[in-house]
Amino acid sequence: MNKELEDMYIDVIEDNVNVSKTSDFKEFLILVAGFIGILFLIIFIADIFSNVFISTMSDKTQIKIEKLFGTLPKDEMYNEKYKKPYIFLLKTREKIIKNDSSLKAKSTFPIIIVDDKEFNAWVMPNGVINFTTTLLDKNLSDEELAFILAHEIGHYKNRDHLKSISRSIIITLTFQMIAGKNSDLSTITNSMSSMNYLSHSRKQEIEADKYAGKMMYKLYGNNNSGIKLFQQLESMEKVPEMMFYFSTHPSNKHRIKVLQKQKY
Amino acid sequence: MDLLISIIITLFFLLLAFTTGTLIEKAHFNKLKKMEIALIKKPVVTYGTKHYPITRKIKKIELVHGESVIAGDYFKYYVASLKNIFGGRLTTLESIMDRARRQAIVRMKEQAKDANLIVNVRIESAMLNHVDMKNSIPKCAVFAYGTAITYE
Repeated sequence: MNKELEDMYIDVIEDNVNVSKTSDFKEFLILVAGFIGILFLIIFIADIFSNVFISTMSDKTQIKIEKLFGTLPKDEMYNEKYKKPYIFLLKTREKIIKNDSSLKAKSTFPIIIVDDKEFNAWVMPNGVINFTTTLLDKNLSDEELAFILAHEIGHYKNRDHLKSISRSIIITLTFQMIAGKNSDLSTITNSMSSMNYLSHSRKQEIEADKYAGKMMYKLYGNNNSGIKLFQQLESMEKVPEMMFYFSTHPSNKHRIKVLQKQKY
Repeated sequence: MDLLISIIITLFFLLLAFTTGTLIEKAHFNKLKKMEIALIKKPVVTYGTKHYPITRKIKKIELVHGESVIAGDYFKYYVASLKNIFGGRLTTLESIMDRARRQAIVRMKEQAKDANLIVNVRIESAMLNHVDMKNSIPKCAVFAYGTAITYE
């Protein structure tokens, strides 16, 4: 074999045409960005669907859906110890319903006190409002309790449960169709859907806070009770600000700011 | 919190697979180049018909073959499964197949050390993973075989 031919062969070996020259990592970034873009589009569509259909739904349909969650229970006082805040909550409930005409002929908002170690209060899709014993043990002022109650009723009024249920049905179904059995893709779709669920939930909390603030203006002429409540909560738990991006609730600082900006 | 942990773990493994995978691949390509250049004087002939015209006297004819089995890393398959949505060339898997094929040919050539010529070379491949098993690692075997001819 002559020298020229040999050099030509070596050139062919050195310059491999079978392997593409683009960087794998660059390709990975482009693909992930494109995939996330598609998922964002689906989430956007699901958002529009749930917002349009649930917001424009008639009250009759809402009550029909709520009946699927079972019959409404009666008010329940867990212990005689909580009689005083309990009676106050019942009275405030009547006041709030009187002040908001859109709440009439809907759920009766039964209030139930639950024995639980967490500082929490929540509302069910059919309007049942739960308070934990730990929350009532903290000796919150009357106005602060009223703020919490108004916040939970705000969730009900905004149809937050129905919205998140309809959203998650659309999102999970379409994401499942895309990712399917592929475990590599489902890590992305799962984290995307849960991140999106969290941010949606935080938005809903802010909306409920705004509703509660407005209601406080109607009942007491100011919304200082909400600000005080979140200041207390802030001193109770010390979590870095960044961690709230992975939480269902916004940071207390943010909630205080929103309430401070609010004007009647 | 669980979400953050799962994202970090996935990213960590992807980055780990990417760095180790690229290092190993680079080393393998360098090794292949060296071996190919060392074996450059061994001509390989693929010939359509079974009869290769040889005028010189033949001392020995034998079957030579080389095999290699190869699998990609986590990162490569991750990129490939993302490509499933958009379509297109699976560039990350192309490099693995190239490595496997060249390795098989180099091994075949090494087996035919004293031969002058290898004719009727064929290259074949076979999937080794269970296609219907969900978490089976995709791996591929490449065979190269031919007839080594030694002149007198």
